[in-house]
Amino acid sequence: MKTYPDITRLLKAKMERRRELARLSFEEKIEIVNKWRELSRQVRRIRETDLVSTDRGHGTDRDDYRNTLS
Amino acid sequence: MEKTLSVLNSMVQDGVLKQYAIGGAVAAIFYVEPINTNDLDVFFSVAGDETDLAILAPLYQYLGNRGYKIQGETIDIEGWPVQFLPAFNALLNEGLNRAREIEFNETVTRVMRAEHLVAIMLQTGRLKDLARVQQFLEHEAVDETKLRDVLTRHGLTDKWSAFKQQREL
Repeated sequence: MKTYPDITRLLKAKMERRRELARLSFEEKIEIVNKWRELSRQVRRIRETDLVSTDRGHGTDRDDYRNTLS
Repeated sequence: MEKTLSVLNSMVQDGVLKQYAIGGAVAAIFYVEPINTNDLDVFFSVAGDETDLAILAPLYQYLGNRGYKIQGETIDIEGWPVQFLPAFNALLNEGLNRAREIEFNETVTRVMRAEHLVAIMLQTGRLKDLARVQQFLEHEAVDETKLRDVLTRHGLTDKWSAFKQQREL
C-alpha cells in the first residue's frame, strides 16, 4: 500500500501564519489588500495588452506590441 | 483608504448619509486575515420608506459634484470603488445601528460587528460567504452567545444548525 508524507506540520504552520496575519492591525491588513489590488490591476493591464496584441495579429509578445505602436 | 473614509464621514456631516457602517469583505478583514477584495461595501440607513434605488441619487449627486466617477455598481472614492447599499432588511439595519466605532489611522469610522457580519453571511448564503463564516470561526472572532442572540432575533438558527452540521462543527 502506498504511503503518503505526513503534512500535519505544514498545515499547522500555515494556520499559524494565517493567525499572524489576522493579528495585524487593520491598517496593515488594508495595506496588504492594496498591494494585491495593484497586482491585479497590473495583471489585468497585461492581459488586455495581450488580447489587443493578438487581435491585431502581433502574437502575444507585449514588447513587440509596444514597439509596433511607437 | 483613509481618504475614502474621510469622504464618507463628510457625507454624514453634510447630511447626505444619516449613518453608515462598513460591511462585506473589508469589514471581515478587520476581524480575520486579509481577503482579496476590490470594493468597499458601505451600508447606510434609509430615513423614510423609500423602496427603490432612487435613494442612491442624492449620494451619487453629492459625490459627482466632488469629481468622483461612477464605475458600474460602484463609485470610485479616492481609489476605492465604493458600493453603497441601503440597509434593506432588519438584520442589516441592526448591524448598521450597532456597528462599532474604530479608528483607521487618524480617521474614525464604523465597522459592523463580527456577529452581525456572520449572521449576514449566513443569510446571504453564497459559497464565498459560508467560507468566510468558517474563517471567523477558525479565528475565534465571534462571541458565540452574542451570535446566537442575533441569529435567534433574525430567524437564522436553522441555517446556523445546517451550517454547523455540514461543516461537522
